[in-house]
Amino acid sequence: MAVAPVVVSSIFFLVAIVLAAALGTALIQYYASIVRMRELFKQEIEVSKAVLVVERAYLEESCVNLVLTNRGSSSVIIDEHASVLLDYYQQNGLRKIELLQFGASWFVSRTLAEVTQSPASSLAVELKPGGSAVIRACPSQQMDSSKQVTIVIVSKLGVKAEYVYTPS
Amino acid sequence: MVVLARRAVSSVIAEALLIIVGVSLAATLASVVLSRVSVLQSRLVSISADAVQALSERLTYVYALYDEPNERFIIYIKNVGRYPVYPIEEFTVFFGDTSHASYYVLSTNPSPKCGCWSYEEYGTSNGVIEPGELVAFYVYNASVVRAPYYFKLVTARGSSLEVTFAP
Repeated sequence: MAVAPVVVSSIFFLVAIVLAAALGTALIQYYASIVRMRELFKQEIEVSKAVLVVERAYLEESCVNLVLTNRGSSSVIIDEHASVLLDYYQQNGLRKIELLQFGASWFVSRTLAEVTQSPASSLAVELKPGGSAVIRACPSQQMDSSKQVTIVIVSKLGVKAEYVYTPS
Repeated sequence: MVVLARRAVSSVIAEALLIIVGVSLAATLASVVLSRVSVLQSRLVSISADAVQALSERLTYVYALYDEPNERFIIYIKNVGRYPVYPIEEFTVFFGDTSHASYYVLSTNPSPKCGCWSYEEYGTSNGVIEPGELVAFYVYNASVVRAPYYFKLVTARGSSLEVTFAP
């Protein structure tokens, strides 16, 4: 009569181990998901802390230069993953909406103490809180400078600035 | 002697029976509990994965306008998340004004006043909005709408983006 309880309790013990392992795996996966969710919320908060403000815009050699300042409390990266959209009227009167290409039709350069560095074609600029940069947006067609131009810039993480102005 | 031998045999049979009963009980219990745990585990994992996926889908409104020559609205949306959002074909689109919005269907051959929508990817055209990619949604309104206009997009995984604009 000594063997039966040992066998049965061993089986129950094994079952308990398997159960604990299954539950443990589920809990670890659940915890990993919660960690990922926390990261996403953190990213959302970081993005909401950055505020891009367009200080002014000016036309230079048929390109629009946009002076941007980060008025928020966290950095914004302006790089190839940002999107620059230009809405303007061509000289033939037709409206054109253009998504510009980084390094080909739009450039970014940092502004240090009111001195703008030469336009960089493939460099990312980190706009720290209070930092400024110049976005140079060059349309493919000659724009009608007497009509309204809209420029929209959105960073990779969704920090957006929009500016409407009439060059002349 | 015969009685003693019978007792020994019966105790062996009883022990064997006990083992069989014990093993079958343990097996039944294990299978029931394991199946429940596996259901619980898969539900936990799918709930958390869906929540993470829905949170990961971060689409943002960039710009919108009315394209007069083509009689359509253009709404630019950018994926500002870390994960791709797909498939665009399964997105649900509502469009209208602030008092009434209607369901619009996806069309591969849209025309003015069709009450449908189409899209254009500014990146790889694969029906997936990759991180950082910009997509233009063309909305062809069927009825007269007044500004401010309302546009709502629901992805296949259920996260949504609502935009009210007046270009």
